[in-house]
Amino acid sequence: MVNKKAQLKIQQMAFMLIAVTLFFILVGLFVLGIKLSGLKKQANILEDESSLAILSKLANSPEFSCGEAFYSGKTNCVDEAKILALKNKKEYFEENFWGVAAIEIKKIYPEKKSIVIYEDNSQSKKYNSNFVNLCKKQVDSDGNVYDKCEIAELLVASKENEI
Amino acid sequence: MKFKLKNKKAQEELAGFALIIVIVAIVLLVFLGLSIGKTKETNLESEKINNFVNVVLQSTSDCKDEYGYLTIRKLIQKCEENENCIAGQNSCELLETTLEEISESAWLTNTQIKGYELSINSEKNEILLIIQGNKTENSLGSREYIGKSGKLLISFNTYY
Repeated sequence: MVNKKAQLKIQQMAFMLIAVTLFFILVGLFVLGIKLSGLKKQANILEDESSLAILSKLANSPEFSCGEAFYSGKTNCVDEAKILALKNKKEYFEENFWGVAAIEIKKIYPEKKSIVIYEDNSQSKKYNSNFVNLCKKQVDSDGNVYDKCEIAELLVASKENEI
Repeated sequence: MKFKLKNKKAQEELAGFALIIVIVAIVLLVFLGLSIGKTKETNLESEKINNFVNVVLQSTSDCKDEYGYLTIRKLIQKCEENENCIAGQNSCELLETTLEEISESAWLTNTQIKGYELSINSEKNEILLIIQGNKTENSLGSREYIGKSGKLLISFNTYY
Protein backbone atom coordinates (compact mmCIF):
# COMPACT_ATOMS: atom_id res chain seq x y z
CA MET A 1 0.00 0.00 0.00
CA VAL A 2 2.80 2.41 1.00
CA ASN A 3 4.78 1.34 -2.05
CA LYS A 4 1.85 2.08 -4.37
CA LYS A 5 1.35 5.52 -2.76
CA ALA A 6 5.03 6.34 -3.28
CA GLN A 7 4.83 5.23 -6.92
CA LEU A 8 1.85 7.47 -7.44
CA LYS A 9 3.68 10.40 -5.87
CA ILE A 10 6.67 9.81 -8.14
CA GLN A 11 4.33 9.63 -11.13
CA GLN A 12 2.66 12.86 -10.04
CA MET A 13 6.05 14.57 -9.68
CA ALA A 14 7.16 13.28 -13.09
CA PHE A 15 4.00 14.70 -14.67
CA MET A 16 4.56 18.01 -12.90
CA LEU A 17 8.19 18.16 -14.04
CA ILE A 18 7.20 17.45 -17.65
CA ALA A 19 4.45 20.07 -17.50
CA VAL A 20 6.74 22.71 -15.96
CA THR A 21 9.48 21.97 -18.53
CA LEU A 22 6.96 22.19 -21.36
CA PHE A 23 5.68 25.47 -19.97
CA PHE A 24 9.16 27.02 -19.82
CA ILE A 25 9.97 25.78 -23.32
CA LEU A 26 6.82 27.47 -24.61
CA VAL A 27 7.62 30.68 -22.77
CA GLY A 28 11.13 30.55 -24.28
CA LEU A 29 9.69 30.00 -27.74
CA PHE A 30 7.32 32.92 -27.24
CA VAL A 31 10.13 35.30 -26.22
CA LEU A 32 12.30 34.05 -29.09
CA GLY A 33 9.41 34.53 -31.51
CA ILE A 34 8.89 38.12 -30.41
CA LYS A 35 12.60 38.84 -30.73
CA LEU A 36 12.79 37.18 -34.16
CA SER A 37 9.72 39.01 -35.43
CA GLY A 38 11.32 42.27 -34.30
CA LEU A 39 14.45 41.39 -36.23
CA LYS A 40 12.43 40.51 -39.30
CA LYS A 41 10.55 43.82 -39.06
CA GLN A 42 13.84 45.68 -38.68
CA ALA A 43 15.28 43.83 -41.67
CA ASN A 44 12.20 44.72 -43.74
CA ILE A 45 12.46 48.40 -42.77
CA LEU A 46 16.18 48.44 -43.61
CA GLU A 47 15.51 46.72 -46.93
CA ASP A 48 12.77 49.24 -47.75
CA GLU A 49 15.01 52.16 -46.86
CA SER A 50 17.82 50.74 -48.93
CA SER A 51 15.50 50.22 -51.93
CA LEU A 52 14.16 53.75 -51.58
CA ALA A 53 17.68 55.14 -51.39
CA ILE A 54 18.74 53.24 -54.54
CA LEU A 55 15.59 54.30 -56.44
CA SER A 56 15.88 57.93 -55.41
CA LYS A 57 19.64 57.98 -56.04
CA LEU A 58 19.17 56.54 -59.51
CA ALA A 59 16.31 58.84 -60.52
CA ASN A 60 18.23 61.89 -59.38
CA SER A 61 21.68 60.80 -60.59
CA PRO A 62 23.34 62.85 -63.38
CA GLU A 63 23.07 59.81 -65.67
CA PHE A 64 19.27 59.77 -65.43
CA SER A 65 17.87 63.04 -64.12
CA CYS A 66 16.36 65.80 -66.23
CA GLY A 67 18.52 68.45 -64.57
CA GLU A 68 17.69 71.89 -65.91
CA ALA A 69 16.73 70.62 -69.37
CA PHE A 70 13.03 70.42 -68.58
CA TYR A 71 11.68 73.25 -66.50
CA SER A 72 13.65 73.75 -63.30
CA GLY A 73 13.09 72.08 -59.97
CA LYS A 74 11.64 68.75 -61.03
CA THR A 75 12.45 65.86 -58.73
CA ASN A 76 12.19 62.21 -59.73
CA CYS A 77 12.37 63.26 -63.34
CA VAL A 78 14.18 61.01 -65.81
CA ASP A 79 15.47 62.21 -69.18
CA GLU A 80 14.37 59.78 -71.89
CA ALA A 81 17.22 60.76 -74.22
CA LYS A 82 19.80 59.90 -71.52
CA ILE A 83 18.16 56.54 -70.95
CA LEU A 84 18.21 55.62 -74.61
CA ALA A 85 21.88 56.64 -74.78
CA LEU A 86 22.75 54.48 -71.75
CA LYS A 87 20.67 51.49 -72.79
CA ASN A 88 22.66 48.24 -73.04
CA LYS A 89 25.92 49.82 -71.83
CA LYS A 90 26.55 46.92 -69.48
CA GLU A 91 30.16 47.72 -68.56
CA TYR A 92 29.23 51.25 -67.55
CA PHE A 93 26.58 50.02 -65.11
CA GLU A 94 28.82 47.30 -63.71
CA GLU A 95 31.50 49.90 -62.96
CA ASN A 96 29.30 52.69 -61.62
CA PHE A 97 26.16 51.12 -60.16
CA TRP A 98 27.34 48.71 -57.50
CA GLY A 99 24.69 46.39 -56.10
CA VAL A 100 22.20 47.00 -58.91
CA ALA A 101 21.18 43.88 -60.83
CA ALA A 102 18.70 45.42 -63.27
CA ILE A 103 17.21 48.79 -64.21
CA GLU A 104 13.99 49.10 -66.18
CA ILE A 105 11.60 51.89 -67.09
CA LYS A 106 7.94 50.98 -67.47
CA LYS A 107 5.91 53.70 -69.19
CA ILE A 108 2.44 53.97 -67.67
CA TYR A 109 0.77 56.95 -69.30
CA PRO A 110 -0.10 57.85 -72.04
CA GLU A 111 1.47 54.80 -73.69
CA LYS A 112 2.47 51.53 -72.07
CA LYS A 113 5.95 50.35 -72.90
CA SER A 114 8.92 48.80 -71.12
CA ILE A 115 12.53 49.81 -71.64
CA VAL A 116 15.18 47.54 -70.13
CA ILE A 117 18.20 49.73 -69.49
CA TYR A 118 20.47 47.24 -67.79
CA GLU A 119 20.28 43.63 -66.71
CA ASP A 120 23.05 41.47 -65.32
CA ASN A 121 23.27 37.68 -65.46
CA SER A 122 22.20 37.03 -61.85
CA GLN A 123 19.30 34.64 -61.44
CA SER A 124 17.55 35.95 -58.33
CA LYS A 125 16.48 39.55 -58.59
CA LYS A 126 14.16 41.43 -56.28
CA TYR A 127 12.52 44.38 -58.00
CA ASN A 128 11.38 47.58 -56.28
CA SER A 129 9.73 50.46 -58.05
CA ASN A 130 8.82 54.09 -57.74
CA PHE A 131 7.01 56.55 -59.98
CA VAL A 132 9.00 59.01 -62.08
CA ASN A 133 8.37 61.55 -64.82
CA LEU A 134 9.90 60.50 -68.11
CA CYS A 135 10.57 63.69 -70.04
CA LYS A 136 11.61 64.37 -73.60
CA LYS A 137 11.62 67.24 -76.08
CA GLN A 138 8.86 66.94 -78.65
CA VAL A 139 7.75 68.96 -81.65
CA ASP A 140 4.06 69.88 -81.90
CA SER A 141 1.96 70.26 -85.05
CA ASP A 142 2.99 73.94 -85.38
CA GLY A 143 6.67 73.03 -85.34
CA ASN A 144 7.26 74.30 -81.80
CA VAL A 145 9.47 72.33 -79.43
CA TYR A 146 7.89 71.59 -76.07
CA ASP A 147 8.62 69.46 -72.99
CA LYS A 148 6.59 66.27 -72.80
CA CYS A 149 6.66 64.57 -69.42
CA GLU A 150 5.01 61.18 -69.24
CA ILE A 151 4.40 58.96 -66.22
CA ALA A 152 6.56 55.91 -65.74
CA GLU A 153 7.73 53.47 -63.12
CA LEU A 154 11.43 53.09 -62.44
CA LEU A 155 12.14 49.48 -61.52
CA VAL A 156 15.40 48.59 -59.88
CA ALA A 157 16.50 45.12 -58.92
CA SER A 158 19.15 44.81 -56.30
CA LYS A 159 21.40 41.79 -55.97
CA GLU A 160 19.59 39.93 -53.19
CA ASN A 161 22.58 39.12 -50.98
CA GLU A 162 23.87 42.67 -51.07
CA ILE A 163 20.94 44.29 -49.29
CA MET B 1 -11.85 3.50 -0.54
CA LYS B 2 -10.44 6.77 0.78
CA PHE B 3 -7.17 6.20 -1.14
CA LYS B 4 -9.04 5.49 -4.38
CA LEU B 5 -10.99 8.72 -4.06
CA LYS B 6 -7.81 10.75 -3.38
CA ASN B 7 -6.11 9.09 -6.37
CA LYS B 8 -8.98 9.99 -8.67
CA LYS B 9 -8.94 13.61 -7.45
CA ALA B 10 -5.19 13.87 -8.14
CA GLN B 11 -5.68 12.45 -11.62
CA GLU B 12 -8.44 14.94 -12.33
CA GLU B 13 -6.20 17.78 -11.14
CA LEU B 14 -3.41 16.57 -13.42
CA ALA B 15 -5.72 16.32 -16.40
CA GLY B 16 -6.98 19.86 -15.72
CA PHE B 17 -3.44 21.19 -15.46
CA ALA B 18 -2.44 19.47 -18.70
CA LEU B 19 -5.49 20.91 -20.42
CA ILE B 20 -4.58 24.43 -19.29
CA ILE B 21 -1.02 23.97 -20.53
CA VAL B 22 -2.27 22.76 -23.92
CA ILE B 23 -4.69 25.72 -24.24
CA VAL B 24 -1.99 28.24 -23.28
CA ALA B 25 0.43 26.61 -25.73
CA ILE B 26 -2.08 26.81 -28.58
CA VAL B 27 -2.84 30.47 -27.84
CA LEU B 28 0.86 31.29 -27.68
CA LEU B 29 1.60 29.47 -30.93
CA VAL B 30 -1.24 31.23 -32.75
CA PHE B 31 0.01 34.60 -31.48
CA LEU B 32 3.56 33.70 -32.48
CA GLY B 33 2.48 32.65 -35.95
CA LEU B 34 0.55 35.88 -36.45
CA SER B 35 3.35 38.12 -35.23
CA ILE B 36 5.96 36.44 -37.47
CA GLY B 37 3.70 36.18 -40.50
CA LYS B 38 2.97 39.90 -40.69
CA THR B 39 5.23 41.66 -43.18
CA LYS B 40 4.27 45.14 -44.19
CA GLU B 41 5.79 47.36 -46.81
CA THR B 42 4.15 50.53 -45.62
CA ASN B 43 7.33 52.59 -45.79
CA LEU B 44 8.02 51.91 -49.45
CA GLU B 45 4.34 52.00 -50.38
CA SER B 46 3.61 55.32 -48.70
CA GLU B 47 6.67 56.85 -50.38
CA LYS B 48 5.40 55.47 -53.69
CA ILE B 49 1.97 57.06 -53.18
CA ASN B 50 3.50 60.43 -52.25
CA ASN B 51 5.67 60.23 -55.30
CA PHE B 52 2.73 59.29 -57.50
CA VAL B 53 0.86 62.51 -56.66
CA ASN B 54 3.95 64.63 -57.37
CA VAL B 55 4.70 62.83 -60.62
CA VAL B 56 1.10 63.19 -61.81
CA LEU B 57 1.12 66.93 -61.05
CA GLN B 58 4.35 67.40 -63.00
CA SER B 59 3.28 65.42 -66.08
CA THR B 60 2.19 67.05 -69.34
CA SER B 61 -1.49 67.09 -70.28
CA ASP B 62 -3.12 67.40 -73.72
CA CYS B 63 -4.42 70.86 -72.85
CA LYS B 64 -2.67 73.78 -74.47
CA ASP B 65 -2.86 77.50 -73.76
CA GLU B 66 -1.10 80.41 -75.47
CA TYR B 67 2.19 79.47 -73.74
CA GLY B 68 2.19 75.76 -74.63
CA TYR B 69 1.08 72.44 -73.17
CA LEU B 70 -0.01 72.57 -69.54
CA THR B 71 1.08 70.33 -66.72
CA ILE B 72 -1.67 68.54 -64.78
CA ARG B 73 -1.02 71.00 -61.92
CA LYS B 74 -1.87 73.91 -64.22
CA LEU B 75 -4.79 72.02 -65.75
CA ILE B 76 -6.33 71.69 -62.28
CA GLN B 77 -6.04 75.45 -61.79
CA LYS B 78 -7.55 76.02 -65.23
CA CYS B 79 -10.47 73.75 -64.33
CA GLU B 80 -10.98 75.59 -61.04
CA GLU B 81 -11.07 78.91 -62.93
CA ASN B 82 -13.56 77.41 -65.45
CA GLU B 83 -11.29 78.16 -68.40
CA ASN B 84 -11.10 75.99 -71.51
CA CYS B 85 -8.06 74.83 -73.44
CA ILE B 86 -7.02 76.68 -76.60
CA ALA B 87 -8.29 73.81 -78.79
CA GLY B 88 -11.71 74.16 -77.17
CA GLN B 89 -11.57 71.13 -74.85
CA ASN B 90 -13.33 71.53 -71.52
CA SER B 91 -10.49 71.60 -68.98
CA CYS B 92 -12.49 69.80 -66.26
CA GLU B 93 -13.62 66.98 -68.56
CA LEU B 94 -10.08 66.56 -69.86
CA LEU B 95 -8.74 66.55 -66.31
CA GLU B 96 -11.19 63.86 -65.26
CA THR B 97 -10.49 61.52 -68.17
CA THR B 98 -6.73 62.04 -67.88
CA LEU B 99 -6.64 61.33 -64.14
CA GLU B 100 -8.93 58.32 -64.53
CA GLU B 101 -6.65 56.81 -67.16
CA ILE B 102 -3.49 57.54 -65.17
CA SER B 103 -4.85 56.06 -61.94
CA GLU B 104 -6.15 52.97 -63.71
CA SER B 105 -2.84 52.32 -65.48
CA ALA B 106 -0.80 52.92 -62.34
CA TRP B 107 -2.80 51.12 -59.66
CA LEU B 108 -5.27 48.65 -61.13
CA THR B 109 -2.46 46.27 -62.09
CA ASN B 110 -1.38 46.11 -58.43
CA THR B 111 -3.05 43.01 -56.99
CA GLN B 112 -2.53 44.16 -53.38
CA ILE B 113 -4.80 47.14 -53.87
CA LYS B 114 -8.55 46.72 -53.44
CA GLY B 115 -9.44 50.27 -54.43
CA TYR B 116 -8.40 53.91 -54.58
CA GLU B 117 -9.87 57.37 -54.28
CA LEU B 118 -8.62 60.56 -55.87
CA SER B 119 -10.19 63.86 -55.00
CA ILE B 120 -9.50 67.51 -55.75
CA ASN B 121 -11.22 70.12 -53.62
CA SER B 122 -11.15 73.88 -53.52
CA GLU B 123 -12.21 75.88 -50.48
CA LYS B 124 -15.72 76.23 -51.87
CA ASN B 125 -16.47 73.03 -53.75
CA GLU B 126 -15.39 69.62 -54.93
CA ILE B 127 -13.65 69.82 -58.30
CA LEU B 128 -13.14 66.12 -58.94
CA LEU B 129 -13.78 62.76 -57.32
CA ILE B 130 -12.65 59.43 -58.73
CA ILE B 131 -13.42 56.24 -56.80
CA GLN B 132 -12.44 52.83 -58.05
CA GLY B 133 -12.86 49.47 -56.31
CA ASN B 134 -13.69 48.99 -52.63
CA LYS B 135 -12.93 51.17 -49.65
CA THR B 136 -11.41 49.24 -46.74
CA GLU B 137 -10.14 50.23 -43.30
CA ASN B 138 -6.52 49.58 -44.29
CA SER B 139 -5.41 52.58 -46.34
CA LEU B 140 -2.42 54.68 -47.28
CA GLY B 141 -2.69 58.17 -48.69
CA SER B 142 -1.09 61.41 -49.71
CA ARG B 143 -2.34 65.01 -49.67
CA GLU B 144 -0.93 68.06 -51.35
CA TYR B 145 -1.99 71.68 -51.49
CA ILE B 146 -1.60 73.31 -54.89
CA GLY B 147 -2.78 76.43 -56.69
CA LYS B 148 -1.65 80.03 -56.59
CA SER B 149 -2.55 80.50 -52.94
CA GLY B 150 -2.37 76.81 -51.98
CA LYS B 151 -6.13 76.55 -51.64
CA LEU B 152 -6.62 73.49 -53.83
CA LEU B 153 -6.24 70.17 -52.09
CA ILE B 154 -5.44 67.02 -54.02
CA SER B 155 -5.67 63.83 -52.02
CA PHE B 156 -5.07 60.26 -53.09
CA ASN B 157 -5.84 57.18 -51.00
CA THR B 158 -5.22 53.53 -51.78
CA TYR B 159 -7.12 50.78 -49.94
CA TYR B 160 -5.57 47.39 -49.15
